[in-house]
Amino acid sequence: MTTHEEAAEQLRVIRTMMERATIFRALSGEAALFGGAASLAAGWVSESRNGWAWGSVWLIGLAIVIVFAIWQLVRTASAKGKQVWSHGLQVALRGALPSLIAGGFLGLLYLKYGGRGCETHAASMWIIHYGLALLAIREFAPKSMAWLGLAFLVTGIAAFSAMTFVQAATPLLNRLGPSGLMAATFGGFHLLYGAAIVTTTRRGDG
Amino acid sequence: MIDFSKLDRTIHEKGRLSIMTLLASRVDPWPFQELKSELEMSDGNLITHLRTLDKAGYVGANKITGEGRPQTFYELTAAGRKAFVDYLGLLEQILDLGK
Repeated sequence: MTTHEEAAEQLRVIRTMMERATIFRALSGEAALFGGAASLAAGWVSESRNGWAWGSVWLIGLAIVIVFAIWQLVRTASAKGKQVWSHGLQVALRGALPSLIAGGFLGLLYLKYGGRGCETHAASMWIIHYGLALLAIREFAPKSMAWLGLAFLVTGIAAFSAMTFVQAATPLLNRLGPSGLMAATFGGFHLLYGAAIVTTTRRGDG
Repeated sequence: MIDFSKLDRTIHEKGRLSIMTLLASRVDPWPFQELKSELEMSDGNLITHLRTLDKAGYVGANKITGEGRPQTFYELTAAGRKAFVDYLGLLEQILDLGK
């Protein structure tokens, strides 16, 4: 091995270690698939409901997905002999929680005081802030998660604009409905993301 | 002209280079168990490398004894961080030379 090749090999070791230490997949492929399927189910159940009843279906769905994600995290960590409350998880939560809490709160405010069409406003808030949360952790997440965040953010902004200022797009949004919007994003995007991760990630990779 | 004798042999070994990289990747100290699982090394192997780095003054250890099992945390010393940065600089120079 020449000195040049040796130096390149040493840099490869450094890069691999740096990635291993800093990149954290906050959303596993399996959790994304489960979340996507749960969202499609929630979209179907919430279709005929309004206001708090509509919101409750989604909150129950969220709770089920969180329980699954925690179980998945514990299972993966114990299989690899790693800590569950890892540095990566702590950093990811520190980055994502402000957006998630803000979006959750604004969505609930819309459901309580938003009046007619409050569900679509609430859905837009949840979609936008979920996208922002994913983008907030993009520096130490795989690239795919940044794309997922961007997809949520763009769709959320488009939906909010169609509901408020861009009247020409309102009929399209009305046809989709708030449940359809939630199912398309939290369901469809997560299913696409999960399928891509599960089929492209090697077994044993984060 | 690059002086290859300047290449730090303590860091150059792959196991120790991996340890130095992990320790350099965070400001917070690393618990021994976490280092072990990231590096996929045996206890004995990791301890030997850590001792070598400690002798060179590149890492510092801090044993925490509280509730539960005592844990040893490792971090880079100022000298270790400087040695790692210098080592990286030299690798870059070698690669630039080959362009």
